[in-house]
Amino acid sequence: MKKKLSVLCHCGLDPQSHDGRLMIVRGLRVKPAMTIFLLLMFSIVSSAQTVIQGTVKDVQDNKGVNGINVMLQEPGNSAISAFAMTDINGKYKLEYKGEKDSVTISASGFNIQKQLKTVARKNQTVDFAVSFESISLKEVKITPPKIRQRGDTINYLVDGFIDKNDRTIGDVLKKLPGIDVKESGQILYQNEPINKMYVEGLDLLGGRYGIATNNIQAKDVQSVEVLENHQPIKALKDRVLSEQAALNLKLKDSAKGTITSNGLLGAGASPLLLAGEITGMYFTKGRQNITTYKGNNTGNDVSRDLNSFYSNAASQMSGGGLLSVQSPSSPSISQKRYLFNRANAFTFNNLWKLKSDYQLNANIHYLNDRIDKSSLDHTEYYLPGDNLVRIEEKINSRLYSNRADAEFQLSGNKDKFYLNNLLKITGAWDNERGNAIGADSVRQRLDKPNYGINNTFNWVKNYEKTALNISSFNGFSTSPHTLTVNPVLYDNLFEQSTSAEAMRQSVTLNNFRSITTASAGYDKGKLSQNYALSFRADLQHLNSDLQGVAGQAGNDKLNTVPDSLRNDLQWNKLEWLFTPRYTYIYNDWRLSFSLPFNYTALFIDDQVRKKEENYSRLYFNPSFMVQYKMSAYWDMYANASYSNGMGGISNEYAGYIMRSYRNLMRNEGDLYETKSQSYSINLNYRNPIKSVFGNARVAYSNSKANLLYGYDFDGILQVQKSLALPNRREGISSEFNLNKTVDVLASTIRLGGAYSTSTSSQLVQGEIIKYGSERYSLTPAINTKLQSWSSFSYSITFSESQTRLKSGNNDLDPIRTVSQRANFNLFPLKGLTVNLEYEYFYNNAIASGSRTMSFGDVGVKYKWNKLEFLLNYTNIFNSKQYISASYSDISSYYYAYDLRSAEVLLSVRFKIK
Amino acid sequence: MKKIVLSIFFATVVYPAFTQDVVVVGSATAGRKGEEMGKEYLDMATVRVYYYFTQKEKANDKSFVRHDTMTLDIGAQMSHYYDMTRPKKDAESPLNQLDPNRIQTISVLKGNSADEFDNFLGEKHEQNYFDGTSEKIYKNRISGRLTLIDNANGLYRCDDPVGLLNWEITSDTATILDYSCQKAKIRFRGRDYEAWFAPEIPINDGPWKFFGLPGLIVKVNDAEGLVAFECVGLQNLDTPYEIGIPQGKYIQCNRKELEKVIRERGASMRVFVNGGNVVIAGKSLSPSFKFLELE
Repeated sequence: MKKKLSVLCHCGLDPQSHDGRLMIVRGLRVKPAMTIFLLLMFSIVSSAQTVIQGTVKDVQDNKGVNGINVMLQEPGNSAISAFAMTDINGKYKLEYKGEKDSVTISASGFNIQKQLKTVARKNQTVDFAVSFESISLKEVKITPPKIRQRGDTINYLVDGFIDKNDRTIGDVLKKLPGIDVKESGQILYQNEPINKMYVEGLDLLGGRYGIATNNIQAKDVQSVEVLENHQPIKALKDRVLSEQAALNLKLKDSAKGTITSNGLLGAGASPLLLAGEITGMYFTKGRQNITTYKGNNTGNDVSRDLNSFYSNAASQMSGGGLLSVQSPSSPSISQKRYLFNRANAFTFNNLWKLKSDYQLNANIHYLNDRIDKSSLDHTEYYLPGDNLVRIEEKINSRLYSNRADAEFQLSGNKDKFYLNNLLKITGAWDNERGNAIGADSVRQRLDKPNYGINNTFNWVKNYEKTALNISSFNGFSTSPHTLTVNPVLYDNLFEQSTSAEAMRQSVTLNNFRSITTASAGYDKGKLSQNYALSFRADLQHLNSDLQGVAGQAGNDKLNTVPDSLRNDLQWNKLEWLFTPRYTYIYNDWRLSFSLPFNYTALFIDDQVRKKEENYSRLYFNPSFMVQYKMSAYWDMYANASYSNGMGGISNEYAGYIMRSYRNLMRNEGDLYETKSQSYSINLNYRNPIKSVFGNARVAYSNSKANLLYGYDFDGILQVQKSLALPNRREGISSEFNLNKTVDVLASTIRLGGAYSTSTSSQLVQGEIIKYGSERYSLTPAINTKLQSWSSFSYSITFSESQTRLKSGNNDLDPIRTVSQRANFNLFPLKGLTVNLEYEYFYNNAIASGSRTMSFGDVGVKYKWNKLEFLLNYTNIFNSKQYISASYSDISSYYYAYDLRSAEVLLSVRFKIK
Repeated sequence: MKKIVLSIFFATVVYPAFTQDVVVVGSATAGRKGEEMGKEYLDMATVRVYYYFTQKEKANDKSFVRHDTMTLDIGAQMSHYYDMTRPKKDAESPLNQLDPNRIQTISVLKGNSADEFDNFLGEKHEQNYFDGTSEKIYKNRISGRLTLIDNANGLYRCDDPVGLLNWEITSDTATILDYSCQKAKIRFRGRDYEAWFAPEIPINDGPWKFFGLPGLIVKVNDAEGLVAFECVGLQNLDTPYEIGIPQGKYIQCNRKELEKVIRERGASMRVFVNGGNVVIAGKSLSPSFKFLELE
């Protein structure tokens, strides 16, 4: 067909063919008066050609109708032999190659009554006059549309997918259609993470189900059920749509009621490194259990596994950590480089199934750790009149940590309501010893136990138009801490006790907290509204005394404690909140308002000073947010907020507390109140076609406080004081980022920069020092995928910071730092992964020795049969210390932190039973 | 080792709040807003057809790389081909769930970084871009001009003058969904397709970019057995449904540029929320994945 057309075109016989509808039609433009040459040429193919053409017109206005299907059929044959569509004038042309004596021409179209005409086979014109008719299709014949398989359950029998290399159910799950399993054990279904992992219909581990997928044996599983669109809260079913699925593992009868387990062993040097892990589990119909142990001294933080994935209300309890041992702050490098640990972590997870739709979980964790830190610290405080306090000391500390917590969770999941109650009991028996060796040699010992119990209750009830959500948190904690410092540094505090050998600070902080919130939301058109009513109670009691002690164990109290070193303070804060939130969307604008009214009543009862105070405040803390999309490439986001705040109990005690050996602190008795404002604006540009992305942000904040805090130095010891002097802290920060992808290099190039400046004031030796600080940084970076078997990334950051003291007219030397990071990944063989890391730091303020530090690591992982080998060689350059210098407020801080030396660790993962 | 890799990689890409990605947040919101805004009126649909679309990577694969139920709303001249569940999916996009007031930092990781974050603490959300396409096709059957609208982290508009398709009809017939159908063939943008059309349904439209046969196209598959469109439902719309392009701020581009944007968006996005720190990690398309249009 095509060939014929091209010949025709070359012969110039069909000049209009370019606007022809279809090839079939075009071929028909051959006219009878053809040259003999052409006739001969086409005699074979075109001997039987019949051309039928015509016009389809509207019966009403006699105009041609566009887009009508015209079909040609042979009598007794339903198949269409030729077809055409009418052009803009309603014209069509058909070619018939068959040899039947008559043919049927039909015209049909959307909203057109179908017409049929049977004509003799000859070249002719057949016109149609069609009338309109709304289209109506027979729907009955067709399977009803299945938009999504909501709530469907798909079942896979595991035996059909298992092969001999499969160790765990995770290995099998990978092969099931639509299911993907990550190395950690996380499961995706249709590329969405599943929202629940049940074993025998029960959720034992919550989000930590990787323990199950990586440990349950494949041969023990009967079938895997995929529950699509699974909404775990039944009361929200059909109300809040879930796109996620859940998995349920059904075990074989033979696998129920027996214990299975897995392990990891690792050893290395130097010093002697050990790592071990063991997991055991047990499943029956009404009960499930998974128990794990992890231990190492390799710098791997096992407590990380004990952290909950969810930020729950328990963190709202005040920890009561008023006292501390002088210890170096953590370096800003990978924790594994500096964590000297000896950790053992144990978890026990058990689930009991109660009567229908209720279940009880018990999760118990125990952590035992010993963490050593040592560093050389050098701190300078700038005082009025160009004076300087310089502290140089060698610090070391050892923390013994013993922590246990138990969670009991009862949940009921019914069609009309959801109930979840979590009871959490925590205990920490930590103690820390530290030495600070400078001009004096100061020994410190801190006992910091903490006991707490709290309960979180959640309730969702389903109504027609909205769902009512009630949550309540109630908790109590107590922390009786004791800090003993040897020798006595604050002689003048203990008048009669020259025989004191040590100072002992005891602080007991008890805290009861209750938060109850009821909220409901309502959407109407462009406006969505949410209202929340809350009541918060925060009741705290602080008991403290500081005294001189003597005797071997420091148990001999030498005197009665003067009132100035004692606190017995009750601090109760009650808050009532009403929070309306509105979001309004209009065209390219999106506006959000949050307008919380907060009535706060504060009662302070200082038993020692026989002083009672009551405060009540009505606060309005509005915030406003606007988003505007200016064009397809630009958009902006701006934010403004105003808030009021008051200090906590640590801003209220009036008797001295020795918070660390260097720091003695008391308050002057006024209520600390702040008012802050913040504004920010963000501008974004993105051009995905050119792969250029950029953004810039400027933010301003200012905060006014009624009290000014500061220090009085007595040698290196400081006494913190506050003065009723309104003061203000202001700051501007700005930053930008630019990103460009370069396809030719398979790379992304990034440039980032930041600048910030702030002014503030502080009280030092009774004088107000105003100071300002400035900081900027610049970061170019590149990410490259070299081949499918390797990838590379590199970044370098330059930064400079400076502090200026306004009163002393004293600019401190700027600190400049450079850091570089490079990462190289290789995947040379199946099952083999090699990773190379390099880090470099430079700091110009490092006074002695090298100003640069370099770190390198190599890691290899290899999978062989049912075993997995991991080889890590860390800190290959054997860098001993991390050295850093920085400014903070009106001080500068320099420290050299001792790091883990070069170490090699080989571990293997295996199955025990 | 992995943790080191992770923390270093992480450290290199953490930017302070609202840096790179408020872009994403903003545009995702804008995309949703587009739905609520006015429309550029095109036609009224009176017939709705549902197609089940599947695409495999290899012919003997058990599972599909893409599968979805698509809707075709047909009017007198124009039709609209789209995923009906998409607005819901977009509204439930993890980015739209974030409370901007809670965000302190956002980090965006491209490429296959999502897997590196399996152990990252915090809530996880994921959006799979290929669970239903975000592409909508407005087709003018008379002129053969298509307008493609795509919400691939931004609103894209692209004109695709596909022209009139050169179908070759065959004499093969079959009964599909109780309609007698006839087979036609075409090579379209790098793949050979077979289509079955029902002359009894006098609508010269079909799934995706296909149209121009004298009857509704009820089934299409390619010769290699990788791609299939199958009619699963047919419905008269008693209340005519408006076909219109939502008004919005579109990035105008051509078909190839749009394809590049979609390729870069990858297969899915995973969002980790840990307090105010948000990490957005992308997952690349499988290197063996091919778009429908090969040329």
